[in-house]
Amino acid sequence: MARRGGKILVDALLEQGVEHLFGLPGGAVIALFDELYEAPIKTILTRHEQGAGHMADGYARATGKVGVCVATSGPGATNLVTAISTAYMDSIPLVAITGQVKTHLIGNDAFQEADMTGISRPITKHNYLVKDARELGRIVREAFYIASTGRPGPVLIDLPADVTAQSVEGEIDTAMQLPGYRPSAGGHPGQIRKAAEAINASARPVLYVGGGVITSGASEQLRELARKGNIPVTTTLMGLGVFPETDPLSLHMLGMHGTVYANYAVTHCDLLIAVGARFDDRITGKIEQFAPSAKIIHVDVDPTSIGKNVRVDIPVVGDAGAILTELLPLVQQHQRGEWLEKIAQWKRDFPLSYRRGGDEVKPQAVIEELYRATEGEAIVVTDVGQHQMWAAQYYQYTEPRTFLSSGGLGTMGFGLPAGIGAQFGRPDKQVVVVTSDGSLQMNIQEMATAVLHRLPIKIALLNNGYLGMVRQWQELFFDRRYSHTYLANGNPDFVKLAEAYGAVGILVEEPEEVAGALERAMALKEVPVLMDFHTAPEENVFPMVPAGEAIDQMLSGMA
Amino acid sequence: MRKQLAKVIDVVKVQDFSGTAYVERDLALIRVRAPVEKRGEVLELVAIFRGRVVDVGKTDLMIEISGAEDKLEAFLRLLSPYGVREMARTGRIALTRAARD
Repeated sequence: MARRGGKILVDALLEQGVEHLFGLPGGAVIALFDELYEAPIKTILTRHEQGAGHMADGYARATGKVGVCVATSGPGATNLVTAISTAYMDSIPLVAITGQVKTHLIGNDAFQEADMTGISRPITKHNYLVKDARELGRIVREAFYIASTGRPGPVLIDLPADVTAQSVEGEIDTAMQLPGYRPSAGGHPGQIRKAAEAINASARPVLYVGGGVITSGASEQLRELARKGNIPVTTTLMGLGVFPETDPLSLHMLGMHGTVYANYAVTHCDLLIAVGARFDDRITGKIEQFAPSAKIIHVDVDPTSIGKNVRVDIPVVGDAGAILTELLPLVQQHQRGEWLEKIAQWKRDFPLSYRRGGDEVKPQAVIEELYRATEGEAIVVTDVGQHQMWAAQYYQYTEPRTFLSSGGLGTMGFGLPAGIGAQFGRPDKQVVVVTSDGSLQMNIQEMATAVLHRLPIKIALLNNGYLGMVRQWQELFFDRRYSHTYLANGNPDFVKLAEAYGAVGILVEEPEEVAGALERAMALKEVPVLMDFHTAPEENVFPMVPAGEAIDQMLSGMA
Repeated sequence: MRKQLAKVIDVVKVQDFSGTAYVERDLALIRVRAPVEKRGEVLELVAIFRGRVVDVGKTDLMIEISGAEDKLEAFLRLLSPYGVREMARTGRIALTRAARD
């Protein structure tokens, strides 16, 4: 029986268990969308390809499955670039399928042609240009395998229109041919033993945990390790939720906008156990003064991450879950009373705080109210900027895959579409998008997608009328010269905008209205709700480590 | 560097030759200006460097030369006053020597 390329692709996607696909058609993928017309895959039509990319990404972050997005050639494909890059920086498994002009026209400056394998090379884990439909089954299998194993990442499949239309007779060989791809599995037993010895000998250890532990599904093992050894845990932005922030051992987030006590603990520890984290510059600050008196253990699935930014004493390459499982029985129970007491003292002396009261809506208070209104059970999806940091600081995350944010690339416009993708993947959970007037407008068109599918997502818009994080830097480091960061005079009426899309809009201008608005929003089902919180325009995110400073040199903003 | 190379999906194996015995070559085809009055000098250089003349024109010669990268660089430095008109080069290629036992 003959099958066309498009059908082979759809069959291969079904074989991979794909249930949702986010995309937008165009000339080069009409034949593919024709195959999707009756396929048992839920295809979600977005209003912009970037939205499709972030939705697939949010879906992947919320579920752990591979997200799939489709765009047409040329502009459709280039519109995916930011989304692919976002997924790449945060190691999110994504398969992006882009249409391409017919093979004989490639390189011809044909209509809607862009060299996607060339453009996507530095922002994908791997990519393919399919030249023959007989290769398609194998390529799709390889793409899903590469995207989801080792250190996950996006894989792009560029599919010329004539390959989609190509008719293939009979069976095709879909066996993977990846002789050079061997993702790391378990860690080296000798290194694990060394790590255990270092942990047992340590008086002041800290676990520094990143998104890799979420990817690995190793949250349980991490919790056991921390509790067995009484080791305090700080997480990166990407690691939020992997260890319950309500636990006394939690130090919350570290780094530029981390807690004082997390940064002090890292600065004073004698052993730093990094698991699934990559010593990003937003974490380390001035690298020479990062964890200056500590031995460093680095557990990571990607050997190129180890020793990239800091010297590592005990590298352990492999899957976090497998390594922590091996490590657990070797680690002794330990009280570490003195160290924990010191940390408790820092927590008492330097809690996260902001100036309460006043007649302005404080953004931090909105997040605290949101935590209460959702009982800490929501999937919080953020955009990028001040609101992202407040959402990280003032909501307490207790489970992995409940805080979704563009950490590495810092993509404004990520929040709404990623929230939509997360809601498709987890219909059982309340999804809340925490965003800002700057970020939301970068992908506002996806309101239509959310309304169309009657998604009960809640959008908490912290509307301060500025590109707030840039304004904060201008205030602190550029003598309050607010060059091109003021948005309020051009902002739309977001409540009316929500209503224009068919969503519900709620305006909040007074502090005492916050709780009520959230309660009303949470009660509304089967419709997106946008809460437009007009917040204090010049509120800053603190603590803050100025760029290039050591992480114990924080501005508190409370002086 | 080694780890970065190994990370590329299409790379099957990465071997680091530093610290091992290996043979290294760089191959170049060079078209150099060599009018009759200068031809003798150029041919002498070619002979010293164990190159080969592979094409002869009225005013120029094409030379094939291979060797370690620094030898080629030295040869090119000496040729350049005559005028190198065209060149194609492989860059460094290498294989380890057989184990000696």
